[in-house]
Amino acid sequence: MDIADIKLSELSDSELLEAQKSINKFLISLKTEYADAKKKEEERS
Amino acid sequence: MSKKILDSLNEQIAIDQETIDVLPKNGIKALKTLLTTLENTKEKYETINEKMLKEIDKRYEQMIEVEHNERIKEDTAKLSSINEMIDIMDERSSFDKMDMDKLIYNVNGFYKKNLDTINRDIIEGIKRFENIGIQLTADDFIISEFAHEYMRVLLEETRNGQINSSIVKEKFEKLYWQCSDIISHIYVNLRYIYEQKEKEIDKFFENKKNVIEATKNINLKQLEDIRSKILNEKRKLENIDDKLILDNFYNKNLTVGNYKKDVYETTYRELMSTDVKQLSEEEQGMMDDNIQKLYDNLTEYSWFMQFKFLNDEVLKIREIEKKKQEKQDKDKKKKSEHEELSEQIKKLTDQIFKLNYKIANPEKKSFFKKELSDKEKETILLERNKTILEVKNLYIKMDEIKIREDIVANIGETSTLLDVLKFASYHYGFLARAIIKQNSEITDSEISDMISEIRDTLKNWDFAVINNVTIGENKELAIVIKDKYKLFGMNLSKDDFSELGLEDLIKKTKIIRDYNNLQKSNLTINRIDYIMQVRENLMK
Repeated sequence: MDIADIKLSELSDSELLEAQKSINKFLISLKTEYADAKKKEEERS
Repeated sequence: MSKKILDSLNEQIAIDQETIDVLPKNGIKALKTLLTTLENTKEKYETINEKMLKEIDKRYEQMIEVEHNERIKEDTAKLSSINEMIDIMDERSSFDKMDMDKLIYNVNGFYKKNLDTINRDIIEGIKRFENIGIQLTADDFIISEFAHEYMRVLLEETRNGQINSSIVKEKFEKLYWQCSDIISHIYVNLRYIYEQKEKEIDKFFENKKNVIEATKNINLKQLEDIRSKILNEKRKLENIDDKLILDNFYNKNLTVGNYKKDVYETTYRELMSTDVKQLSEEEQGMMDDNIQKLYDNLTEYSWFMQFKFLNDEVLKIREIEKKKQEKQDKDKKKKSEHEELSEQIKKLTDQIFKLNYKIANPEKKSFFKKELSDKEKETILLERNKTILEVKNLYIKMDEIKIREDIVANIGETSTLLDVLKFASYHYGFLARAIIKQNSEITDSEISDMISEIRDTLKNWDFAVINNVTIGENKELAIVIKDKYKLFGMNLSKDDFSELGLEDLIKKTKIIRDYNNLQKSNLTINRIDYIMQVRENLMK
C-alpha cells in the first residue's frame, strides 16, 4: 500500500485521529533515529 | 472498509520500520544510506501527516460550529424585562428598592474600608437619588460643616472625573483631624436626606408601579407566574442546547468518560434498582423525566441548604418577637418600638440643627448676651457632634427593630421557605450581619458577592421545593424529596441527603440527566469526543 493513496474521506472521525496518532508516533521515532544516525556519522567523519 | 485502511496504514508503518531496522548501521557508507532512507521515509509520512492535520482541522471547524438556540436569547431578554418590572412591583420598601440598605450598611462599616471605597459608595448612593430624579448637592449635607465641606469637594471632584483625587484625600485628612466622626456625619446626613425625600421617592415607585399595571394590565402575582413559566422553558432549552453543552465540555464541567453507555447503565441501575435495557420506551421516558426533576430538586435543595442559616435567623427572631409583641399588646402599647425611635431621631435631629444655628450665628446668641466665647462655641460643637453620633446609633437600632417588626408582620405560618428567604434577601444589612454571624472571617466584598448570588438566584430559578413547603408544616426538606421519589421506585435513603451523600446523589442523577439531554441535542458523544481530542492533543 502506498500511504500517499490513502483516501482520508473514507476514514471515520475517530479513525482519522487514530491514524494521525500512529503517523505522529512513527514520525517522532524517525526523527530520533535520524538524529542518532547523524550524530554517529559526524563522529566517524 | 475504513478499518481496513487503518490496518493497512499500521502494516505499512511496520514494514517501513522494519526496512530501517534491517539496514546496516556501521560505517560511514552504511550511515549515509540509513540517513537517506530515514529522510525519504520521514518526508513521505510528513506529507500524509500534513494532509491528515488539514482534514482533522476541517472536520473540527465544521463540528464546533454550533449556535445557541435563539429562543434562549429571547427568553433571557423577556426575563430581564420581567425582573425589572418585578423589582418595581414587589413588596420591598422604597428604601430597599433604591438599594439604600446596601449603601447605609457600607457607609456604616467605613472603619473596615479605605477612603476610595467609601467615596465610591457615597457617590453611588447619590447616583441612586439621581436615578429617581433627585439631584443632590453639597447644600443637602447640612448635618455639620464637616459633612458639607467634604461633600462639596467630593462632588466637585467627581464632576471632574476625579473621585479619589489628591484634593479629596487632602481635604478628608484635614477634616478628619478636626472631626474624626466625619463619615458618621455623612451617614446620618444621608439618612436625613432620605427621610426628607421619602414621600417623593415613594411616589416615584408608586407611579412606576401604576404605569406597569395600567399599560401591561398585569399584577405582581401574574408577573411571577409568567417568570416561572419562562424560566422553566429556558432551562429545558438550555439543557439540550448544543453550544451550552459544548461549553460545558470545554470548561470541564462535563467529561466524555461519563457519557459512555456502560457508565450510564450502571448509574441507572444504582439509582433506580432497574436495568434500563429492560424498560419500555414509555417507561424509560417517564423515569428520565423523574430523574431530571430529581436533579432539579436536589440542586435546589443543595443551594437552599447553603443559605438555610438565613431562614433560621429570620424564624428565630420571629419567635422572640412574637412573644414580645404579645406582651406589648397586653400592655396596650399603642406605638411600636420603631415608631418611638423614629420620633426620638426626629427630636434629636431638630436639636442638631438648633445647635448648628448657634455655631453658624455666634453673634446672635441672645438679645442680652454678647457673642459666644471660643469655649462656649467648643462646648456647643461637642454637644452637636455627640448628638449626631447618638442619632446614628438610634438609626442602627431602629433598622434592627424595624426588621424584627417586619418579620412578624410579613412572615406567617403559611409563608413558604422561599418567602422567608426572599424576605431576608430584601434586607442587605440583615443579610450581612447574619452572614458574619455564620463566618466571622468573611470580607465585605465576599459578603457583597454572596448577597448578589442569593438575589440573582431568587430571581432566576424556577423553584419547585422550597416554594411548596410552609414554615408551619415544619417538614424536613430531605424527607419530602426522598418520599416523593421513592414513590417512583428510586433508591433513596436519608443518608443520600448528608453532605457527602448528596454530592454523590447529585453526581449520579447528573450523569443520567446529561446523557439523556445529549441524546435530545444535535450533538453526539462521538462528535464531542472528536472535538475534545483535537482540542487537547492538537492544542486547539
